Amino acid sequence: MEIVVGIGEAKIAASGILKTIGLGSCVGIAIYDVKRKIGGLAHAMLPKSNGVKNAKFVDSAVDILVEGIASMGGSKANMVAKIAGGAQVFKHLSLENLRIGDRNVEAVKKALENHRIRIISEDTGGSLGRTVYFYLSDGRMLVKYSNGDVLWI
Amino acid sequence: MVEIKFNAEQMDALKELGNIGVAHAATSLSTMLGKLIEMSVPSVKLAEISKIHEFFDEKPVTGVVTALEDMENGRSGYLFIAFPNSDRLVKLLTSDQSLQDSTLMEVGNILSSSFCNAIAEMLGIMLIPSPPSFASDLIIAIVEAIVAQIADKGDYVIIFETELREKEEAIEILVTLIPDDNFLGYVMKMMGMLG
Repeated sequence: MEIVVGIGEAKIAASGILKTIGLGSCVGIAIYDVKRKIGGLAHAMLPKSNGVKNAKFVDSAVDILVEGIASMGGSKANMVAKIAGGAQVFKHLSLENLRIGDRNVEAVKKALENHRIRIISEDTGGSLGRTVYFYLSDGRMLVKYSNGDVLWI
Repeated sequence: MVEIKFNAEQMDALKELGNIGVAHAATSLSTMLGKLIEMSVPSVKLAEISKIHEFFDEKPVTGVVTALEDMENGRSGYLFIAFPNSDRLVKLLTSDQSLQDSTLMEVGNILSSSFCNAIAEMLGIMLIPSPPSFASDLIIAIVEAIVAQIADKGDYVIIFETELREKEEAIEILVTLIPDDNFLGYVMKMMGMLG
């Protein structure tokens, strides 16, 4: 079963595949309880929340995933993370100087560190959009680039 | 987030706005190419950002992005013109395939300035477009990166499903308006008054 995680959303599941399409400057955050095999995937757009807890912000998304997995019986001590995304899609747009992609990646690393969750693999940066598939049976993550290339992380 | 819905009259008014935008573009293209190009907007959709994967195909496209700014009132947004069938479009417009990128860029420029004018005129505001930027990726990745630029202030996009036609051949072009909430609110208000 494939569950699509939309832009700015976070979803938790205990089986099947969580998928998020078209990560540009956004970052895909997968957190997995390796013992209970429960995991969550978020598609977060911006580094820092404005006070509202919403998965479109990286810091909130990590909180929402951790709490969601815990509420389904997972425990933080068994959680690991994989991240992908944070590309720079526009080559010339002056606003892209804001480096949202890089800042999103920095923010997710910091948020995970605050929760003491280890990142076991990542594929971030570059200039290509990504679609990711997160397999809850074993925690594998497939990154599919917009040019057709694929990568397992 | 505020739940936003356009009623049937407002959608019709938006479609009309789209048709005015592409009509100007079609005239410019016809003059430039010396052949009759027709364009229309058969359908308009309002999509919530978290659900845009239901509206766009998961395949790479080439497109042009322009920032729109209403300085006076601090409203802003982006226009993203995507060419899902760029090869066919270029073939239809020029016999010189080496001009692929510049042809798309030019069509994108013409369309975005026509749209910008149509929107500004209809809303009675002054909109200043930025120089366009070229992007080639999944539509969703491009739209998402644009939404991130307007920070947390935009939750919806308006998709004008556009058709470019020369004789019997019709090619799909997607014109997506990505407004911040302030801009969208104003568009809704004006559409309501027109509808």
